[in-house]
Amino acid sequence: MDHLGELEQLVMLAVLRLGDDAYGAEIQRELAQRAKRRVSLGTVYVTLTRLEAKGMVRSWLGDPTPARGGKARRHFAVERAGMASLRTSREALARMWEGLSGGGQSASGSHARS
Amino acid sequence: MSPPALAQWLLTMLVPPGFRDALGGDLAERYARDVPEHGRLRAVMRYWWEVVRARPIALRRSARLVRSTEETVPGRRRVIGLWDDLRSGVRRLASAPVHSALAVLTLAFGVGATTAIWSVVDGVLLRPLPFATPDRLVVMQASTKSDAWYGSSEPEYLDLGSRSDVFAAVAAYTWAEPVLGDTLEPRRITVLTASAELFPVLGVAPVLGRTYTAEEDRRGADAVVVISWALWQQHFGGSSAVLQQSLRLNDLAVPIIGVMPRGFAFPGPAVQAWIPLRLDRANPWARNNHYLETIGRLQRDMTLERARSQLASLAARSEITYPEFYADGGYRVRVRTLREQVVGDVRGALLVLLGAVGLLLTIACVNVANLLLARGEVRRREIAVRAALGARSGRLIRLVLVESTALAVAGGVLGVGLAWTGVQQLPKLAPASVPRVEGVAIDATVLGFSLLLVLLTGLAFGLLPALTAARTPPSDVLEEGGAGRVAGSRRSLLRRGLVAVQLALAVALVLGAGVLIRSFANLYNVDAGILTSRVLTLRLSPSPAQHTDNPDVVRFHDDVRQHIAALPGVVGAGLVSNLPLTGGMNGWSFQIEGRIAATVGDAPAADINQVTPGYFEAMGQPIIRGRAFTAADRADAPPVVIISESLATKYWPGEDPIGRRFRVFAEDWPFMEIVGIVRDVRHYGVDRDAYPAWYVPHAQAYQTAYTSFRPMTLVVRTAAQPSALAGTVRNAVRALDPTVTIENVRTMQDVLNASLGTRRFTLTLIAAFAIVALFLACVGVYGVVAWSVATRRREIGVRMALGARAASVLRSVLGEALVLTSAGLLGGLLLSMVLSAALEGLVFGVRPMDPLTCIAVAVLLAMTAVLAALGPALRATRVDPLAALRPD
Repeated sequence: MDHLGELEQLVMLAVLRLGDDAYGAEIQRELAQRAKRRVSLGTVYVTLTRLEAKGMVRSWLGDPTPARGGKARRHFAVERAGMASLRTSREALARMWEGLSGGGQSASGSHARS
Repeated sequence: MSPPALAQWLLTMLVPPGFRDALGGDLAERYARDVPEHGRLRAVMRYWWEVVRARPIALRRSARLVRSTEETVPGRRRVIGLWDDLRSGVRRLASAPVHSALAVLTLAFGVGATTAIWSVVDGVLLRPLPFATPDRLVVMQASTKSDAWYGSSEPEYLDLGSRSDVFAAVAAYTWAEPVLGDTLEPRRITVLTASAELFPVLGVAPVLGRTYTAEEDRRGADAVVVISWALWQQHFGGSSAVLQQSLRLNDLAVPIIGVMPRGFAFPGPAVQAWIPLRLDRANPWARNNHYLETIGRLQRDMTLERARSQLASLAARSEITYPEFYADGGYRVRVRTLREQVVGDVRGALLVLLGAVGLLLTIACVNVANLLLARGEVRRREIAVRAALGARSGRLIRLVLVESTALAVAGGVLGVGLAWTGVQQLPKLAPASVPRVEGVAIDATVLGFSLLLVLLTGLAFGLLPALTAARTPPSDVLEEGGAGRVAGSRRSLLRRGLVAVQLALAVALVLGAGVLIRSFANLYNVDAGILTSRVLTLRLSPSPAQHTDNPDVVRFHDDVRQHIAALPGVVGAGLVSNLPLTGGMNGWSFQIEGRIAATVGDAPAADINQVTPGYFEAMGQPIIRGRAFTAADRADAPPVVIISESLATKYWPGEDPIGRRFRVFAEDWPFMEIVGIVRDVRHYGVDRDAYPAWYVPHAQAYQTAYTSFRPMTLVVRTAAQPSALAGTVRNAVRALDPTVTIENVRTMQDVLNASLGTRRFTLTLIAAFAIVALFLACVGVYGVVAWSVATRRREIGVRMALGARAASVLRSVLGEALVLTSAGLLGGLLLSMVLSAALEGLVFGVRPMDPLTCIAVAVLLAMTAVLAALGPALRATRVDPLAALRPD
């Protein structure tokens, strides 16, 4: 299974949160508002395309609207493989955080329990 | 409400087709939302931000993962590559903001200053005069007694006009200042009374109506007037019915027959109207009254030299024919081109300014060259790594070139802005003594030239490190402790050489500025013969309708004097016909009692001034012997006169002139007794000699010296700041006579400053250049010393590890800087010696290579260099030997 990078995780989580409204500009806005990560739209699309290549998300074209100058919107949704990867990543993080207080030091000395 | 077209186009260029809809559409959507929410400017900025960060290469790569390979048009690829290079170049420039800002500002200042100054010089000196074939126009002046040149008399003018072999036509003119009627407040305008030949000579046709004919220029003909464009607009609102109207001049209605075109200004922009001279050509006025200016148009095949020799023989013949006028001093005629007459006085100053700004441009380019070389040094490693990784040398060169071009372009654009501002502001700052500034505009050629120079400098010196780096095998650069020793010393020599050149040029500028500053200070310290502090002056023109005869005028001026002298805050008051430092005195011949001269040609002559009691005290002009005028010196009292020191020594050497008498050179006028001797005044300028002068009481003048002058200038000595009293004095004069015209209200200090106007202008600009040049040279020294320290870290580390103390390291670094400075100083002094001839005409009381100033400049330079080198030198002493010796 592919491991996800941090930005990839954040983008997929944004797609999940947005549900039907998950398209480029909205994902960018969600990242900025919730995760306080400012990235360019180009970066968002690069990430989404890579995720799509790995089979983590799928995309489809919506209808063109006049507000977009007649251009179609590309929507995204998380695939089952993507959900699985997200969960794996979250568990891995949780295991690493276990036993650590907020400051990063082990609560019981320098060796963490595995 | 669609996004900016350029940004949209760029997006299309950069983004692969598969993403255009999605990305472009998203941005369009967001733009449409942003405009009402955040305003159009922010929306545009956000849009552009996204375009700049579109990441075309990454998008392409990711697209290839998902879909089949997309064809990229080679042209599009080039655009993407260039765009990428541009972005990374700008990013790199932004990462060294001080460096980049310095380079951009230096270039901008060089381009801007050069273009602005050159445009002024071009507009004033080089631009052809706005008349038909202006190089055929010449101005004639006469001189009969002294070394001064003045106008011609009526017979002399007629003689010139009769020489149709030399001239196609000759015109004569003089000034008048009548009061313009029909205005809210009475004001005087400057009118030229000119012979009818003036308009054919100048070759400019009126834009409305006609000019006057020879018929209308006869003695006894009724006056008509041709007015200027400005007067037409201001006084008549540009109405087309102006030709049916008249101009009220001194309460006389003069019919308007024509309007001159816009921009026509002869002899200067102050003249608003032209009226026929109406000489009595059959019975001209006396040959010794030189009051007419003359201008002629040379015949088609007549050269200036031949004209000069022809007129010289004319003068010689006149000397023989009219010995009674020319016996004593002869008669000389001077012929100059009109251009020489108009701009001759300021040419020297303007050319010096041009030279100075040329030096500045050179310094600016050298500075940028050095900065770019320094950057090149820093990036040698990076370029070597890229080359080792397989980058083509063309790509590497483009990488570096884009950066330096971006710098050069930014500097150039800013420079254009500076040039434009400069060309707008300089004419406003220029003093009245600089002629023709109204027409100054940006010279496109010079702008183009300096922009090109700047661009080439950027390219050349940006390219140099790139080329050498691309040619050096990467292994040389990447090796430990490498850095191509041999090439390094050549580079080091180049950089040091450049800084030395900068220093030399800066020295030349600073020395020039220093010498000019000393001249200026000398001028202010010159004893002009008067006290210029705390004196207020106003020019009063009583209306001819209110004061019809001489006794009336005298009474009015006396009233003014008494009233003003009684005001609180006023120490003393008096009136004078010609205010010192404003030029334009009349020189009249006189007859000394007991030394009758047979003809006016043999008689002595000197400048005459009319004054009221209280004048000498108010002006601070001391009486050396005898007394000043008092209220007792009235028209019915015995005629008296006061003479200047030099007049006394000239005509009564070794004797006491008090009690002697003389009169004007005309029968039936009374002899005046000399009652006092007054200090000489440098009337024509503090940098010119004082001329002999005689002073007649205004109250007696119409009985003893032809007429009592008007207008007169009121001179008021104040206890406190003179400008504070201006309003009070004005009101007091108005209260005495509301119809009097009050003009030129200024302090004597203002008058002095105005008389030094051109010098101050030149000095201010050169001083500004010198400061910038010194600053740039400082930066240059800093740069080269810092770089030297950085490249010799290892050596310094070794020395310190071997026991050298911080002080000796400091000494060696500073010593290096001083060696550089000395080289620059030597070069600069040599350069100044070569250039000093150019400053000859501008200095006063000091030599162009004044030793004191040279020493001061040397010390200043040394101090500046030490200051600049101090930072890197101190850093050198703090080098940790272990860190320096560690392998890279």
